[in-house]
Amino acid sequence: MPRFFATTAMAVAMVAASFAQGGGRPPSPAGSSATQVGGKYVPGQEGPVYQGGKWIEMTYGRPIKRGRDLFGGTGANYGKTVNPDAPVWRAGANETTQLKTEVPLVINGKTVPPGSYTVFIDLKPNNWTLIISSWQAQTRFDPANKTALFGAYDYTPDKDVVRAPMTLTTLPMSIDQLTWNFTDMTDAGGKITIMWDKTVASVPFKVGS
Amino acid sequence: MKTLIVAVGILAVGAFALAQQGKPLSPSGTAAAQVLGKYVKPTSGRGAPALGGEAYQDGKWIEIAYGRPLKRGRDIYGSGANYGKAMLVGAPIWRAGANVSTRLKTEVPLVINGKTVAPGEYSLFIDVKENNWTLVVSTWAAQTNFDPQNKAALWGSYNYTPDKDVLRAPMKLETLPHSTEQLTWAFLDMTNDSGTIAISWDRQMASVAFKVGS
Repeated sequence: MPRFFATTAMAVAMVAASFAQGGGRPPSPAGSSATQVGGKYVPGQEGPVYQGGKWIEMTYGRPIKRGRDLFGGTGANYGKTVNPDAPVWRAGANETTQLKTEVPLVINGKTVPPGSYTVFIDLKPNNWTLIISSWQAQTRFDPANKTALFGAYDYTPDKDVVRAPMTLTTLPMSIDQLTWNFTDMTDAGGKITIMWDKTVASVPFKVGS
Repeated sequence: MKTLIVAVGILAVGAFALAQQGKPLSPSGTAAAQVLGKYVKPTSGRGAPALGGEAYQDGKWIEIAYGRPLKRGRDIYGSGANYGKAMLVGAPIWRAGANVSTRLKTEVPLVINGKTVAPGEYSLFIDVKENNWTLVVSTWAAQTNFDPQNKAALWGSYNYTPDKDVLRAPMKLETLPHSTEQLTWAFLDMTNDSGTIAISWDRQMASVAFKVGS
């Protein structure tokens, strides 16, 4: 028993050390976006407290524009800056972008049951399509693992749960770091939105039953 | 060996406590930008495919770390005599985040509103008046866990005093076309030596321009 624990502690310490030695912050830091639905405010000692909400969360790597022309290519070159060599865009960096939901989501007429999914975007000029897939995500790049994806490499559409056209709009300012956000939220639903540079792309969803 | 076993025990208890409480109501987040770096072809390896085979090297980080509250259907800002009251929760100034004090960490000097912020770590606050927001960069240290006995560092913006202000800068207020559910700090309109620090929540965006100093 003590030896087992000691071994675990060594592994934890080694992982911590490798992080400290690994050259500092990754170029595309990890991030998340979260929202809650279905909860209610109850009185608390320091004001109302929100309780009983169900989480909807996206986790993703957050690449930085760093002066590049992200979405400027035309024709077959469109999207090649952000997605040079995968079948679809991971819409993030490093690990596959993931959606975790504690409630069913109705997107483009289809229901996504509670669970963990991967998220991709098919990039065409003026025509972005959100893809929610049951492909699972690798937490570390392992080319030998064929049952889960790293980023969007080796993505196939056979595990798609839903595809939905995204509404594209343009911002007056340029956002430097890729940002997923939930926008225009109510308890009944909202929008899943990605913003990078001056481009905003969103898809509405409703909370299903 | 005994030390290691105790350490594992503490880790296990910590993990258990987290699992019981679930996700905090206002998850933590960061916004990060890099300046002064350049794109170079690596002398070995293939470089980053998404960067045309080049790699961005020697950039200096500027980062904001903060708690990210959710709107959850509330009227966040209020109006008239109640303006900002719900955000302040009794504090003298807004923490512009949740839980811990919002922190700015910069590896380069930043020039904001004519004053230079030396490389280092600072706390950020916003003085919120209706149609008049002021960004405050302060040398107040931040508590990592709430400790009312600790008078040398702040939790959020409680007990904030202006004597440690490095600078104050008026913020440009704009209305967004959408409501952002979760408070979001971001770097906007970045060049390799300048940009804008912005906070967005609901339909309100407030921003301050900066240049990298020397």
